[in-house]
Amino acid sequence: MVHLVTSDNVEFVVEKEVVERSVLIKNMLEDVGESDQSIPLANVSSAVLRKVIEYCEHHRGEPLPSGDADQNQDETRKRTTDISEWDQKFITVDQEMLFEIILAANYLDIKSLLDVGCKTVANMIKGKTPDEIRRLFNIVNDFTPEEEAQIKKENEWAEDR
Amino acid sequence: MLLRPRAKFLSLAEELLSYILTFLSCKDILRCSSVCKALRQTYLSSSELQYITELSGQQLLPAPGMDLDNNSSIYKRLQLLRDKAHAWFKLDIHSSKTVFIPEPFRRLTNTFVVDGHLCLFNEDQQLAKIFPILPKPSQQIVIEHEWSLESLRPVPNADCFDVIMDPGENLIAIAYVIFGLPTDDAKIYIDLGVLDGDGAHPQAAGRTLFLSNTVFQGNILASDKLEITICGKYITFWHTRRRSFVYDEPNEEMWWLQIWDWRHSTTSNCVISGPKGQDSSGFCFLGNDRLLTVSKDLRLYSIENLSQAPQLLACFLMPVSMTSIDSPTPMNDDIARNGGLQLHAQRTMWTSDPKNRLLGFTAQIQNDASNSFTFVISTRIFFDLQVGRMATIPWECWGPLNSRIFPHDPQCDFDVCGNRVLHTFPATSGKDSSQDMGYKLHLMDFSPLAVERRQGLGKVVSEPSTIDITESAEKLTTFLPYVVVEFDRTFDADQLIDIWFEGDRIYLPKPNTEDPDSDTAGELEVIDIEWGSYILQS
Repeated sequence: MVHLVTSDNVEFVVEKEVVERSVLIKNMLEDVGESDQSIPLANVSSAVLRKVIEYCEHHRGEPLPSGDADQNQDETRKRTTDISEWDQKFITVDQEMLFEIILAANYLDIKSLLDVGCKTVANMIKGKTPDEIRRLFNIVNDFTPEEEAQIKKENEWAEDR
Repeated sequence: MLLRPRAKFLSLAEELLSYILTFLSCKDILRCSSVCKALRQTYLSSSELQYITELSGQQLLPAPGMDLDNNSSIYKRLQLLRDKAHAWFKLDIHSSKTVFIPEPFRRLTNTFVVDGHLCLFNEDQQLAKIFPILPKPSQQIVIEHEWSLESLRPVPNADCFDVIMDPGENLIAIAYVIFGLPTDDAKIYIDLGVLDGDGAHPQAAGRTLFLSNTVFQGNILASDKLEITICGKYITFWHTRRRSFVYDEPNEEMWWLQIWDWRHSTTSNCVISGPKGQDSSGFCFLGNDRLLTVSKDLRLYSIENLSQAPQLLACFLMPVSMTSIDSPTPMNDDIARNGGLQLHAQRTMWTSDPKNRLLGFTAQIQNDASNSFTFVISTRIFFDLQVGRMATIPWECWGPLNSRIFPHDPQCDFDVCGNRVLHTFPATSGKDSSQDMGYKLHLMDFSPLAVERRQGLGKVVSEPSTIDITESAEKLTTFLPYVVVEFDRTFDADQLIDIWFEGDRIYLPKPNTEDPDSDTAGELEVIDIEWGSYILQS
């Protein structure tokens, strides 16, 4: 069992097999060796870690992407934003939690979870106009009208396709 | 405890933002880049995002098996892609090299260029030959071989009438007739072999392809047109003949087309036919499982399963009656390649997008030779269909916005490669058009980024063009935008007997000086387009 301590000081005790889906923790355990000492995760809150562990438990035992396999999968990864049914349900959370999961997956180095998060955001953006994207993420348009007109003109070719 | 602000989209690190955007299409990426300055910066600092939009704008697809996570090589690839687009507009067509075409292979009808190789066939002497045309150091496929066709035929009394080669697939296909007794027992066979040797092809489903019963077996007339082609995974057999051989009957000339997936099976039920009438006609493949026939109209078929008859998806009507259709470009389809694709991809890194390339053919309108036109059509329209019942689509609904029509002088020639068309037009003096000023080579690029950026000497044509059809009040207006470069070299009409256009090369066969009137070529002029000095390592 591995002990993890979150930024809000909550301790989680997780099976090694589950927590090793995080390449960061896996490497840490390999370096340190077996020990009862808890691992501090200063960047991850307990609410987020709970979700991350839920994901890792569900996907336990699945092969981790190795360097080589990653390259082969690369082609299918691009352009496809398909997400499996369970993952889809898992990632149905509010925006703040979604971005927290992406940050945590990136920090903990869990590639498949990072992809689920990023694909979900991509799916939210897909087909939306710049204005709709601004509303979606609460972004302020900081272009001058001239800049905006210029960019619009530059990108026109892609619009009528 | 560490206090952090609430996570927001823009609070993600730039690398995460750009990673998210790599899952999107070119259009969505560009829309994101116009949301705010931060996302604009994300786009401008990511080679990968710009690579995706550059590919899409040039209507290319990344070749499979490419590692897109290697950032330095993506940057290189982006540069290369841009250099390549630039190079076409500063092309010097005065500097060329010449390749000698050996005897006895000088007949133009049996000469063709595939994958940088010259493929030759002499029907009378039953000889075939292939050799690389000035191979570049980076060229991965280099095949040189010569056959006496007797060595390839299983029986001695067979007569080869067509030979076709594909270096990318290392495949040679030989079509031959065996004359039996009585003569109406003549049978046609198509045999497959490896191109760089004399044996059977290891990936082929068998040595001999079987013709369907509906396709011709029987009496062969000298006037019949028999032709095979290889297009990646497909082999086709095209022929025209009379429907019946009883001469007293009113008789209609027909064309038949049979298609095999040569790796998968030696049989197929994929047969399409139509009345020949006064038209000649042709076909091309679109992507992996669609076929378009060009005759009076354009018919789009699904050929997903070759053990079944092709399914007609749609019929695109033409605005005028067309005759003497000169074969549409065969679409040397990178996507349909399997074995060849890998070799191909390592060399090029990207392939032309079948959904966004050009179909080109010439046709006479209303059976009048002075009314000859080149039709250039974006293949996009053949993929935008709603799936469902067969549709008949009038020209007004699909044609004007997706095509350009150019006047086509009988001395003119053209070829298509991806999004680019190479076309010869009479040079005009501005005053007297009857005076023979020779011919000029025009390169037209129909990809949206070329039109957008208008690089170098290119002139953008975005206004519609209208052609008048003489002896009728009809006018045809077409809108597809393109950029055109007119090269400053003038050719005499008799110097331009054909044009082949392949990737980054132009091939111009030169007339045989010893026998200038015959349909033969003694030399091949090769014009290289140099684009950047990177040698790609995969």
